[in-house]
Amino acid sequence: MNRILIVEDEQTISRLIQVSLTRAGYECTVANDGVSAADLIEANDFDLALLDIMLPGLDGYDLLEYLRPMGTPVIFITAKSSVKDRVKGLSLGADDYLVKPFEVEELIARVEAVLRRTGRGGQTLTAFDVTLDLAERRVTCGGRDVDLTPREFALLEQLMRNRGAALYRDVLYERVWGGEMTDTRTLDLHIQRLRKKLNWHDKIETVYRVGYRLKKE
Amino acid sequence: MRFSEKLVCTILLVVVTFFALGGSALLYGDFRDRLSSMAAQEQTRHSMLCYTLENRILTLHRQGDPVTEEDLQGYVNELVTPDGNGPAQLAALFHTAGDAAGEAVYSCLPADWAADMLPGNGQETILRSGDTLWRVYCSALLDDWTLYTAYDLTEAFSARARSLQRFLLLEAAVVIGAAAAAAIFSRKLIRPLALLNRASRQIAAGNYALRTDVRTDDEIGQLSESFDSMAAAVQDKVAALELSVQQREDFMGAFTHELKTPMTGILGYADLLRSMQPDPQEQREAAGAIYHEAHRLENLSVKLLQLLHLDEEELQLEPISLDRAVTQAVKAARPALDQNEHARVEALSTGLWVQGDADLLCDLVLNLITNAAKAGPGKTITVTAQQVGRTVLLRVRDQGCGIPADQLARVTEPFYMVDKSRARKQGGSGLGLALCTRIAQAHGGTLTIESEPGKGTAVTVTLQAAPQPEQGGAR
Amino acid sequence: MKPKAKRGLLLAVCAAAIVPLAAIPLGWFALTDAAMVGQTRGQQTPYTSLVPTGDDYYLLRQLNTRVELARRSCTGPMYSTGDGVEGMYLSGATYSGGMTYAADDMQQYRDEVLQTLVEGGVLPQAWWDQVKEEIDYWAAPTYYSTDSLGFLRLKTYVGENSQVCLLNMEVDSRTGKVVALWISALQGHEIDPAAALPAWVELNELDGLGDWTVPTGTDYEQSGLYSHNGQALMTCATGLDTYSSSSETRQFLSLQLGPYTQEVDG
Repeated sequence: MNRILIVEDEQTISRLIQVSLTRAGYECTVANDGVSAADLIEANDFDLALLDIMLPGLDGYDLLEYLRPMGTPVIFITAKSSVKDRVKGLSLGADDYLVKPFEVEELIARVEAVLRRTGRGGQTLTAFDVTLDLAERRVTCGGRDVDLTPREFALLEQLMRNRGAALYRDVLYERVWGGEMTDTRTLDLHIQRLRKKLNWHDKIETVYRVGYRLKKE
Repeated sequence: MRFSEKLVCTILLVVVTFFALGGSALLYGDFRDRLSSMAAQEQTRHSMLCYTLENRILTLHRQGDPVTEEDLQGYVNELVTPDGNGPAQLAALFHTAGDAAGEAVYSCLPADWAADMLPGNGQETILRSGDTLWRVYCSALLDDWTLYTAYDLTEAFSARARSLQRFLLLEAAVVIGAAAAAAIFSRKLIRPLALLNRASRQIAAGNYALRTDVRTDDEIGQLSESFDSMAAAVQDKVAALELSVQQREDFMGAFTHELKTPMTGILGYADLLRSMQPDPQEQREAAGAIYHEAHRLENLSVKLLQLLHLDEEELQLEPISLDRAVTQAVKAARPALDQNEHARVEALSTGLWVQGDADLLCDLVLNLITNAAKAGPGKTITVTAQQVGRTVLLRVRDQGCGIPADQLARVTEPFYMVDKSRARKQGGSGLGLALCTRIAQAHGGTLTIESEPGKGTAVTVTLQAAPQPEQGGAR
Repeated sequence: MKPKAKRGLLLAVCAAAIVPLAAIPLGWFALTDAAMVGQTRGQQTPYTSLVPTGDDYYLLRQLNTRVELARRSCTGPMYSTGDGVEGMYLSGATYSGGMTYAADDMQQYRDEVLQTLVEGGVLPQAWWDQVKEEIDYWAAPTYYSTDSLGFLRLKTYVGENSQVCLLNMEVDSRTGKVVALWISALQGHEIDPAAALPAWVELNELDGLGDWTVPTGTDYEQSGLYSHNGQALMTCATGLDTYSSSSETRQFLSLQLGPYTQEVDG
């Protein structure tokens, strides 16, 4: 499980990121200002840091200096959107630059991209006896390889990332197939097949008037 | 063409012209004098000749001998024949009456002189023969004889030519000397201009702090002074513009940030709720966050609009009862006071009136009271006013956490918050004090803050005093 | 035009302008010299002609001297001027008895002189012709005398008894100029004094005096010319004369040159 440090002074946003990333399967630690962030960095080893630039005390750029020698990849999150600021951020050594407001999907995707790029990826999602290897695009169930179509893979990924939460049908469709859902049959069919292939008939729950949910542990 | 060159050329042309004119006048004057003195001599010689001839005629008459042509011819010839003394003279003797009128008895005048060119009796004229000029005199003698004599003027001309030659050489020397001197001096005088030019160019290129600083007592010095004051003005203007731009950028940056942050929260949580049905705990949290952030936005936009409104419109000031405004503000601040552990307000009525806008004044006091409540929950807030001369000092004092000295100057900046997390939690936008300052300015007054961390803060607003209206007046 | 080229041009123009400006004197002199030629002005101190006096003319001087000496020697030919100078004046006889009989050469001389008068426009031809005729007719005798100054007197008589003085002439023997002429002719001749007198002035070379004028306000207004410079008067008169001896009326012509001082009437 990857450990991610979130440094953000706005409680609302830090909470949001924490919730989203935790659901996606990462272990998150939150710091509300530069000084406490620096302490945390010293004490712990993180696989990724999400830094807000405008922080009380040490700002994001200073924290970058701290993190670089440790080789920890950094993504800047900030409201400063001008090209100049982006260039500054990236040229100082950040791995990516995310501008507020952002969509949580985008955040998760960038986090994964950076982890993959820096070799800390090999992100695997695990639920019950199934392991999803995102880098290799491989699914193993109880040690055995399972053959899944790309759509099935994407669908399984969505379910595993949002464990415990009931995902709406049209959102699932949008995320896997793209575009608007015209009928539910395709989705339902794929869910059926997943249940069969993974033998997760009781793990993938149907939620009345909402969609589907992967049971929590 | 360079200015020093223009100067030198002008000086040279002027010098040459006046020198040449002056020299001409001088040489001409000398020439005329010489001619005059020659004329005196010539006149004498002519008169001598006339006298001699008349004597001869009278002698003949006296002797009773006839006055014959041959006699006179021989006589004149003898007199006139050059004998080596002095310049040559020519003569002619004519009958002027009788049968032989106009005939010459004797003449050694040049053949190309026609009779009508010769002067009349008692007159002189100047005639040319070949390259030389002669002055011709004419006198009528006894017995209807006319004598002409001519004198060579070459001497005057040759003397003049020599003088002219010397003068031209002198003139050449003067021209060269004047050119050299003019070049040297003009360059020296022009140097301040070159300095001025160089400095001006540097300033124009962007080095606004530079000054030309040419201190001469003349127009160039004045030009330098003017230019320097212009550069100073430009520098100030540029600095002011840059500051203004910077301020605007800062404002926009802070504003964008203040706007984007709640938006991120709202969008993020809304997206969450849209895509899944999390457990009730999470749902409530999401909804609550959305609500909170939206409130924050609302607060921000209200204050921002107020601020912008103040910038745009001219304020109409009229006499307002300060007590009334304070009372209204306290009433409006009740929710905020209650939220902050029931903080209390003590406002003494002073009976003072000020020039202002009732709503804005109420907002001002409301904002200050709200800030004070947030700073010191449960503590007492005092609102006082006193008149000093023509200004009224309105003071709101709290016993709250205070403002650190190093941040005191910045608290009135838009979006600036001393303790961001606390302020956000309380729904603050960072615009409160900025708005109050702006309202104070619009009223023609100022807003000052004194604070001691841990002890409390006092905000003082100066307003224009207004005469109290008669009993039963409006508002 | 490019700035550099313009600059070069301006400098060249400036340098080129200096030369004609420097040569202003040359131009000035050329102009003034040209203006000088042919310019006529009055002389500063014009020559004033000498004013001749009677003394400058031999003839008048002779006449004046004669008057002077005649006065001095009225008591006798010898005279003294008072400062020890002694002189003698012998006047010529004026009556035939004291005069010498003129021979042919003298008569010829008389004719020549009279001819000169005729040619000079003084004596009208008619007069002379008529007089000559009478002389020849009567074979008129001529007598002459001279005085010590050289004045020659010639007298010719006509008539049966040579009683009519036909001609009485005074001539300066040295110059041959006539100072007085009396002719008695038959009637019917004319003479114009206004023409004869100026001609006689010229003949006697007295025109140099330059101021022969009609003496207005005097007896000689009609018949004379006066020179103030020379203090001389020339008269030309004609009229009728009756000879007692012949009871004949004849016309006379009298030409007279002599010293004369006119009182200036203001």
